[in-house]
Amino acid sequence: MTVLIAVSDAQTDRELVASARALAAAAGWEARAVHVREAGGPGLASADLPDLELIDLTGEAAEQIAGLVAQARVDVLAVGLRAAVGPKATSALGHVPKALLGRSSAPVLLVRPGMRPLTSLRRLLVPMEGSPSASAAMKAADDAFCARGREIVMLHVVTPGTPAESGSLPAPRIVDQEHYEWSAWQEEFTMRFAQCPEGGRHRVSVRVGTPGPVIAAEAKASGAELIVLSWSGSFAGGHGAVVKALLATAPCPLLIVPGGPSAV
Amino acid sequence: MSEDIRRALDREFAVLCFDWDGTAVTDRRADAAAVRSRVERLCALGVDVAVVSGTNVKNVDGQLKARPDVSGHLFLFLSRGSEVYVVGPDGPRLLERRQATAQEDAQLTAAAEAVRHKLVAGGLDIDIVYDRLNRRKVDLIPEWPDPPKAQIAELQERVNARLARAGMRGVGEAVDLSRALARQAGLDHPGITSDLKHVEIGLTDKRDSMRYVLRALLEGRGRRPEDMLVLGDEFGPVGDSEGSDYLTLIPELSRSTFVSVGVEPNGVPPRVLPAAGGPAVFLSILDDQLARREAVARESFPAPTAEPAWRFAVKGFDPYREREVETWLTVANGETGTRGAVEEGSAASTPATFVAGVFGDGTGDPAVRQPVPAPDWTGLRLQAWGSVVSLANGELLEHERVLDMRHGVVYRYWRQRLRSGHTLRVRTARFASLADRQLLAVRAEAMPEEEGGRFVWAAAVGVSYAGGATKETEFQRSDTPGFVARTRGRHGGGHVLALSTRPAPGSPVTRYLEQARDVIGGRLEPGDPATVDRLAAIVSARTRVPSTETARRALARAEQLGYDELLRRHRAAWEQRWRDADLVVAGDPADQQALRFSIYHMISTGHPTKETVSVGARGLGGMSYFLHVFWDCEIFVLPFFIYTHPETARTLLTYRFRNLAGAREKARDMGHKGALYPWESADKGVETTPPYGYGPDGEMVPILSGLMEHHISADVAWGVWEYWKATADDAFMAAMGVEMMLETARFWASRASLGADDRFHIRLVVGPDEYHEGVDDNAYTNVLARWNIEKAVEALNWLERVDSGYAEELRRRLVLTDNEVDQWQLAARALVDGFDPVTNVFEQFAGFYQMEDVPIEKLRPRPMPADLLLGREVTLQAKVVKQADAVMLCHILSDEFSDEVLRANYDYYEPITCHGSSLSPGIHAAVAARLGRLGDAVEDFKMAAAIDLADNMGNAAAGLHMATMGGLWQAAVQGFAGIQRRGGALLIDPHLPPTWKKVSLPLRFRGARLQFDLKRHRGGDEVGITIERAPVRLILDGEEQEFRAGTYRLRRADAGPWEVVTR
Repeated sequence: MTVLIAVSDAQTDRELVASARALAAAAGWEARAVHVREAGGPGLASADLPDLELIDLTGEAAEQIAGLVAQARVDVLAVGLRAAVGPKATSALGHVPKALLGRSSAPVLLVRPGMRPLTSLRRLLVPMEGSPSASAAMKAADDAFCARGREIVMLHVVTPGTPAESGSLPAPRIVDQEHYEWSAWQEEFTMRFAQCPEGGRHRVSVRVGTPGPVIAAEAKASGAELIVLSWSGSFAGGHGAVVKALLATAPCPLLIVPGGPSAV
Repeated sequence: MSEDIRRALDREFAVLCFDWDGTAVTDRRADAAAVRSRVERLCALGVDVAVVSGTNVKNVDGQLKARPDVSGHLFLFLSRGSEVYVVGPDGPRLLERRQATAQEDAQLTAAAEAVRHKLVAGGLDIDIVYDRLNRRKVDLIPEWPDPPKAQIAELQERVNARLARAGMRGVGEAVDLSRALARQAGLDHPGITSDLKHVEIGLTDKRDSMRYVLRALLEGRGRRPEDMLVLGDEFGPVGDSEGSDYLTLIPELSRSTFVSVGVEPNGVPPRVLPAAGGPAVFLSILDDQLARREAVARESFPAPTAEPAWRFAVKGFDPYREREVETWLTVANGETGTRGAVEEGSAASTPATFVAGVFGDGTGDPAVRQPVPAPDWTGLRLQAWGSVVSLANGELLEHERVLDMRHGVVYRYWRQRLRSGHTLRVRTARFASLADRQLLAVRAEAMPEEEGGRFVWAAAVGVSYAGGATKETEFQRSDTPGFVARTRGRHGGGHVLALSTRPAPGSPVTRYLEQARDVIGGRLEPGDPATVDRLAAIVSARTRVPSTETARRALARAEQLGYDELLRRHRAAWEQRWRDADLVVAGDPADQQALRFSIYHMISTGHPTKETVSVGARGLGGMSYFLHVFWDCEIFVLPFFIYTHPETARTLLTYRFRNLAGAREKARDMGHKGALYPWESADKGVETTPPYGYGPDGEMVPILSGLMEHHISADVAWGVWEYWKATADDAFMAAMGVEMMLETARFWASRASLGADDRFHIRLVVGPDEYHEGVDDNAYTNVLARWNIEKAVEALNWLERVDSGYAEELRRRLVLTDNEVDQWQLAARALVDGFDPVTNVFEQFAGFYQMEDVPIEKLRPRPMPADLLLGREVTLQAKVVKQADAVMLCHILSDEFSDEVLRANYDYYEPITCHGSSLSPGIHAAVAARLGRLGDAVEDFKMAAAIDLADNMGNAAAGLHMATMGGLWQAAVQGFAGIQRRGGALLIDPHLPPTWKKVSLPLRFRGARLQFDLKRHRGGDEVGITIERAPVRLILDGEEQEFRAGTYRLRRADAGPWEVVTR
């Protein structure tokens, strides 16, 4: 399994590189780097990225990287975000990460300068609305990261609406006797969406509110080093509102898993 | 074989009766393996086989050696009518033996010796065989020890020649002589027979055997003589004496079919068909009987009803939803409930079997009284073409499970293409017997589709995926093929599971050992079914583990009947129950299904006779709520049973009566008098509500219901009163009901306290609306408390009128004085109820009107957990209602409050009710319908139906919502059909939803059975009523009238009066 780190500038992207390498180590994967330069433009020196295999490409960045992901069987693509600038900046998603999120078949790790760095991945947060298609992130988290000594927090944010998808399990709308309903719901929620054969610990956490800010706050409060959520890659029609919010506010790196609707 | 004989044999016989020597075998030295295998197969198919012979068990069983899998189908009638054996897996067991008295023995000897004396006097050498049971054999030709049947002609010639030397005409005269001398010796009815070599003088003969067959295998098993085939080889005369099988032709069996396979040199009597051919033809007749039954068995795998309105079908396999599906497909019978998990298991499966009434101490946090689940009895593992068959092996081609609600059976149809490329089909049919509640069964069939191969079923017994309060389970190997599992609860009850797995009749598979495992299998060709029957018995006890023998006996009952007969009786029992319970809605298939689904599960969960169990909040299909009993039973589910199966209603109330001691203890512990029923009840009738629990985020929350939710005592009293008024069961009321009402009334009188305002108050309670805890003067609680006291006094007055002696004894036992009763009534009259006669609205509790308003849009969409979405602190201070509270009060006391009061409270509380409880929407639907608010009623009805059935909420994963089901029934019957009790009469005021073209339903009321058919007709309502067994009082347009047994048609235009169109 391989993490491919898209590096545009070794200095600017040093947090990206560090987090991606830590992620790879936590999952037991390899890490490689790719730098795409314009024709005739300067490349990166290997010394800029010690102990990291560097692939040097020329051309349009998103296209070249997407092609490499598909061809080289990359399992996770790591891309840097730029900090949102100015009061009216609405997105920290630059044009290359934006293009890659829509095209990459592999999960994408997004790191913004200033985020809590990913080191040993002792705790990760997986926001879940409780629908099967949005649980792709949970499956990815379990497959890659479930291990002893690591906690995966399944965060369910309760909103007035409920997913329409068959097989969904949002927080119960009817609670006859609280002391029985919630323990039964948590057990079913875990059984339905989590599957860790390696003895890792799952914890279900329930919050109420608007998903974006609640997830960011919970990640900060719990010391999570990674937020894993699924997204179709499109902002059209209001989709991806949570992703959009977290791009700007998440206190730690985001791992976006391609798949169903936004996780929350 | 002649055409007549073929025609006579062209049918299945339920009983095959045959002679041994000469019929089934040529002689005593012949190899009987061919007979043995056929006899065993016939028994496995449920045929009764009777061997009738003059010889003894050592000879017959020693040669036949048949060992049917199940005892009760093979019988040996031996020693010429003196002995009866039943043969099972362990060999023959003596059932009856006619034992000669000493006098009779002496008489038999005297008779035989007199015959010998006579013949010796004629110069013949004669022996006597003395050692036969109840007879003596006079050997007429000792020099020929063992003449074969084939030489019967020569034997006859030589014997007659010998007898001629003594001056006798032949064997016939020897028989006559023996009869006369036997009578002279004192034997009044000797059995004299001859096989030419001997004359036998006995106390019994084959007539006695045939009469036993008639009694035990025909009449005793509900059959007729024409259901039996009798095969022999000597019906006709042998020489000048009767053939040895002649005596089987008793008059009572004149309609049975008799066939001779013998030579019959002198012809056969008119009743007998001569087939000849000896044992070879005998075997061919058995083969024909086998082929007929095996063909039927192969083609008759049980199938669900084809009627869509009775089918609850689940297609495919969705691991996300599988736990909900398992709950939906629970098969239960009030004694046990088994989740609908797939037999072979899967990563998503949570198989479990729950046993009603068996609890133990849990060890979780907090420690709560929990059920003790039984081991999973449904496990069957299939291997085909060498690989394990599962949903994960290869590709799922087809998968459908159908709950046949009409007959209480869950069917499964599954086709899979394995990774190896082979395809197979699997079918199962599972049920928990409603006819014999200790018994459960599943039949499983697997069949290769395109290519043959080896199929092997292995039985598995696993642990229920349920946790629980099990202390230990001990598995024991059983003598019959299967297991016995003894389970003990922690400081509680226990149960024993006994189960067996056998090849199903007609399936070409056998049992054998494979690597020390007991398996059933064989090599199959495409279309051959590998079918097994798994039968289980569960016996339980509240405070101990029952004996293993009890479970074995129960299992033996199942095995004797066999799967097919168990299924037939089970289906018949369900048909019987539906006759008085079915609710037929024309025009709205979804509502029809929701109602039948609810009724099915209520019938499945209520036990009609076991007074130590009740209906838990989540039924018998899931561990949620630990099978604990709440007010859900009396207020929501009990009305269904009162009006469709009062016997069950009575038993549910008897559960509460038996637990009066626990209720008195709780009242006492809380410093009150009388009986305070526990909020949550398990097996001991004491409070089992945990003091704390864990909220959505794992935070500890105190649980106050056990301390403060006291309305349950009045709810039980309400159940008692409603039952009594609807059934007129005065015996119950006198023996139990009055005491329950008095003790709960006594509690309320002591619970209420006099305030500074000279009014009585009930403070610090939790009402049905659990968002507000520790409130004062909850209207539901106070009004019901007052009602409880009033009705208790009324009940006592009634008892004093009808049985003053018992009333006095009861008063004495309860130490109840007139003064105390006066004090109760004083408190009741002065009890605050929050009612405003101007607005007609009950203030839900003191200070409710001063609470914060919440914009209605914040309480939508419903159902809505306001305490979660708005926060506990907000709901505690707000006019937000979790569930029907004041509205519930107006509904259950509908004969106390006018429509104006009902309307006022509904209009006030409905907008601010979140339906955050499953108990709520059904009741709101009933009330809205009654008020003619059909839009609201339908919306609430569908909301209730979706609680367990919606596919995007997962509510049913850990159990069914029994109160919702009861609420749906109440909405349909009391709301939409508008049939409600008022005093001792039924009010009829339908408000059918637009999509309900017609609704038909039966009700039982005060000894009568009524069938209602209601529909909208030309801008009005039309009601057909058939009344049976007793007259009924009906209320039409406010006027009560008596209607005698008969059929009536009522009609009314909208807003118009009722008109009785036909009587």
